[in-house]
Parts: sequence; C-alpha cells; structure tokens
Amino acid sequence: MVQVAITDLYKRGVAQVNGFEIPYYEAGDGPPVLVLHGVGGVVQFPGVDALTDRFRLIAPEIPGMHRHPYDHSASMRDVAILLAAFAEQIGLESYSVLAFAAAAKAGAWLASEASEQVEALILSSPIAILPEGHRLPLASTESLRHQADGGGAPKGMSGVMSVNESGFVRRVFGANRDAEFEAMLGTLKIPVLSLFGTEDFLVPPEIGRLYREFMPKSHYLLVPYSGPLIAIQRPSAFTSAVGDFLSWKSDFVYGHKSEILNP
Amino acid sequence: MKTSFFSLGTYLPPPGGSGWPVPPGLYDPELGVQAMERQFAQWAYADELGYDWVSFSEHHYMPNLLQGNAITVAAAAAQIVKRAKIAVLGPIVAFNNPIRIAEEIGILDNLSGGRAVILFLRSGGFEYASYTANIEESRERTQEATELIVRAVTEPQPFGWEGKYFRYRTIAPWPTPVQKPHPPFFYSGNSFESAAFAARHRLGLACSFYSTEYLATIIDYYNREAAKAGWTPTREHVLYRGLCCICETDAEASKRGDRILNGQMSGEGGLVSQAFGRLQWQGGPETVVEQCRELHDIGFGTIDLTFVGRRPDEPPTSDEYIRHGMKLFAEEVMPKIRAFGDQPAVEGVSKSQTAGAK
Repeated sequence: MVQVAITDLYKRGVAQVNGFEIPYYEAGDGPPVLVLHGVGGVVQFPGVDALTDRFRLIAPEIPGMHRHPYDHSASMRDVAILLAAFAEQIGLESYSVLAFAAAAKAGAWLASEASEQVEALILSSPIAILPEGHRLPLASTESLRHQADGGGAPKGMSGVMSVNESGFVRRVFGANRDAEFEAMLGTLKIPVLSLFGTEDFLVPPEIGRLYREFMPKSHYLLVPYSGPLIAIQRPSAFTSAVGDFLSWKSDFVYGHKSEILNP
Repeated sequence: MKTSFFSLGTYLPPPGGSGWPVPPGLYDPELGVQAMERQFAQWAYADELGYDWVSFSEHHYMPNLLQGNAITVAAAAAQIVKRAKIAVLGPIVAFNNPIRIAEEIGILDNLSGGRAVILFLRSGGFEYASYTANIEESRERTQEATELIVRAVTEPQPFGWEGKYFRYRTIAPWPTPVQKPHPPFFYSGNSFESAAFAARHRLGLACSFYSTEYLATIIDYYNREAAKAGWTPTREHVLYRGLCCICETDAEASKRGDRILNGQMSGEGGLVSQAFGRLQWQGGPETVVEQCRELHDIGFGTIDLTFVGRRPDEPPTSDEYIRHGMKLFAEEVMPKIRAFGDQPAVEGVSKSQTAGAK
C-alpha cells in the first residue's frame, strides 16, 4: 500500500479521543478549518495547501476512513460524533468544516452534532447523496489516480483511493438516498457550499440540485474543466471559491476585490 | 431544406471613411432611422414570403451591420415577424457576459412565443478590438461561455460557476426559455475542433462561407464525433450561411456578382471580404437550386442567406435589389429546395457543376 507523503508545510500531532489515538496534520494561521479527507487518508491537495496563508487547517486521520481497520463506528453519524470529540480535544471552540468526497456525510453530520461550534460547511465533490440505483464506477480508483497524477499534484497523490476500496465506507455509508440524512440537512442553520466538477465521473454534478433543495440557502457551485478532484485539477478555482466562502460566508456571492483598473 | 433570411440593417448610403472603425461622427440619425425602417419592412416581407427563419448577427462599429447587440434587434423583430423563427446567429459569447446572454435568450424566447434559435458565435478580427478582448483565448472562452449559457438556461436550481474565464457565484435567470429544454442551439462550426465541441455538447453546427468540399469533411467529422457522444444529428442540426446574388438569369447574376467581387459596389464589397471573397450562391433560379442541392447533399438542412447584387442604376439608399432577391428566391427556389426533404445525405459531394458554393 502506498503511503501518503505530507510535506513540511504540515506539522503532525496526535490527539487521544475516547481511548483512540487520532493523528492529525496542521498548517497555517487564521480561523480554524477542520479538513476531512476522503477514502485513503490525509492527502495533500494544492488547492487546500494554498488556503494555509489565511486559515489554520487541521486534518485528522479519520478512523476507518484512513487505511487502518476500524470497527467502532456503525454510521457516518458515529464518525461525526468522534470528530466532534476530536475537535473539542484539540481545543477548537468554533471552526469551519471542509469535507471531501466520502467524508461529506460525516462532515454534514458533524455540522449538525456540533452545531454550536461549526460555523460553515463546505462539501467538495460530496459522495453523500447518490441517485437511486447509482453505483460508483468500478474503474474509479485508477481514474482518480490518473487524474491526480495529471493534475500536477505533489508526490504521494497515489494514495488517492476510491470508495470501492474501502470496506469501512461501504459499511457505514448507508443508502444512496438516506431520508434521515436528507432531513438533517434541512435543519442546518449555517452557510453551506457544495462544489462539483462538471466532469465528475463518480457522481453526476447535477446531484448538487438536491443539496440545494434540501438546503435552500446553501450554495451549489460548478467547477468546469474538473472531475471529482477539484483541489488538484483546478487548484486556483478551488482556493478562490473556498477561501472566499470561508472569509465571507454567504456574502461570497458579492465581489470584494476592487475592480479599478488604473487608479 | 429550410431557408433563413439574414437581415443586415445596412446604413445607406455608405458613409464614406475607410477601414475600421468608421467614425461615429459620420452617422446621420435620419439615415439610421431609415435603415431601421428598411429592416422592419424586410423582416415582415421575409415572413410573408415564407422564409423559415429571420436571422441576426452581432457585429460592432459597422455601418453595413447595425447590430451591436443582435438580441436587442431580434427582440424588435419578434414583434413584427409573426411566423418565422427568430434566429440570433449570433451573440458573440467569448467577450460578452454569458449570464446576460442567457437572460436575453430567455426574454427573446418568451417575447417570440418560443421561436428563438441561437448560435453561440466566436467571431474574430475587429470584433475583438471593439471590446479589447483577447483573441488568443477566444476558442476556449467561447467553449466555456457556451457551456455556461446552456447550464444557465436549463438548470432548475440557483448555481454558481467557477470557471477559467467566467466566475459567477449566483446564477438563476428569469425568465427561462419557453422551448424545453432550451431553444435550438448552434455552435460555430468552421473548424474540426469546433465541430467536435458541438458534437460533444449536442449542439447544432453552423458553418459559413467555406467551400462544400471542405465542409463535407467537417460535417462528416461532426457526425462521427456525435456518434461517439451517443447521438445522431439530423439535417436540422446543420446550418450554412453565405451571400446570395440571385437574378432572373445566370448572365445577369454573373454581371452583378462580378461587379461586387471586383470591388465596384461600395458597401457590398465589405460583405464579400468577410465571406472570403466569394458569393456562395450566384446565378439564376435553376443554378441556385443546384447550389442548394449541393449543400443539401453534404448534410445541410438550413441555409441562411444574405442577398447582395445592387443594380448599377439603383439609388444607393434603395433596398429594392434585396427585396427582389428575396422574392425571386422565395418563388422560384424555395419550393424546390423544400422538396429536397430530409432524405439521407448522398455520399460525398454532389458532382453538379455550379458557379457558387465552391
């Protein structure tokens, strides 16, 4: 199994949570953002790294979602409860959540379970609501790695995995259309942004409409020239949209940069 | 085969000056209003004569094409033309605001009761100077803008777009088009790359001015790329635009056309230079029918005609030659090319020897 290389940009820490050791990586200064990796573990994305000049990023190795076996969570909601405890353990009083792919469901549940602490939620290429009968493409692992390599990502990107490779995710994911989860989305009071690459081959980007229906005040953003790895394939677009959203929340729809050409 | 009348709205007489842009100080509002009124009459006449579409096209700073915003002109036409489709061929999407265009498409389709047809135009040359736009990036900008506009007129939920060239964080145009999922959309198709893009995105293919030999290869490529994308275009998806000099006889058309090609007709000469120095249709009715057949045989289903060929003795502010060409074409050519129907395209290019469309 290929190990993921994390560069010196991030310092490593370990938190003791409910009797488990949860390693995490941290970089940057500013308002804290909990970064939830997809299947395969903490992976460094250029579009995420660029956020460290404005935000303090904390990326825990999510038990079960990382490469080690983990049998103590029966659902993504359980994962979220564990992550809320992790955030509390490392002293985060308030924070935003940036969740990738298969971690989106856990990220959304975290926003619900820790509603007093979570200020904003960002779901990047979320694999949380799937069309009825939709099966993630079996060839997705190789395709993802190909896209990662083609995206000019740092070494270690071969750690990208697909949901198909994770027995844990398959076990705790639940139904493609999870009524409890969808009802919960409607209760979230915080600003929510979901991003989809228009060339996403794992989940049809049009599924973003459902997020918008369940969360009518949320933002549904399409990123052209990108598949599911937006932070690799369109890093500057990712940094721009996510950075603006973290800074301005729902007011990111307005322009905040001067458009004066020649003062 | 269907027929579209392209209304230029030419300012007459040509204001003088040389090159581009023509100084706005030469504009006489009285003549400008007359040009608009001639357009109104031409649109109504085209509708009366049975043309399937009346078309418009964005061009900037040009006295012979007073359509800096073609959709604005088309909106006016939609109130005069009661039957024919209102075809904007088109807005230049590379350097305009795509969301504004999406909104305008929705408005136009509602104003016209669902008769809008749209071509997403890349254009080139002086047009890019008019808005200080980067022509080097125009192909990719046109493609991104096209994808964005299609999304904007079809997406049921508000959405945002974080593109390379366009960024909008909230998009939710009202009104949406009457035609669902959207009006017929075409894409500039004079190159293989553009044809592939059109095929991948299930857009119609709009070609202009080039020879049938070349365009036969483009259409063949378009059809093959569409098959890869899982669909089969029909003739309805393939459009050709060109200049038409039609007279009662081949000899008269030759005489008038040659005067244009030799630069002896100011105003019309500019059109010919944009059409690669050729007249795509030139001749008497029978010859023009054969030229249309040649286009039909390689897959074109609609032709968009600009009538040229002023008589030397015709007053410079008259559009009598345009109306004459419109009528002659409608009476002598249109019934015959309509009868071409939608039978499968003949393999290869027709062997008919014709003066134009070459």
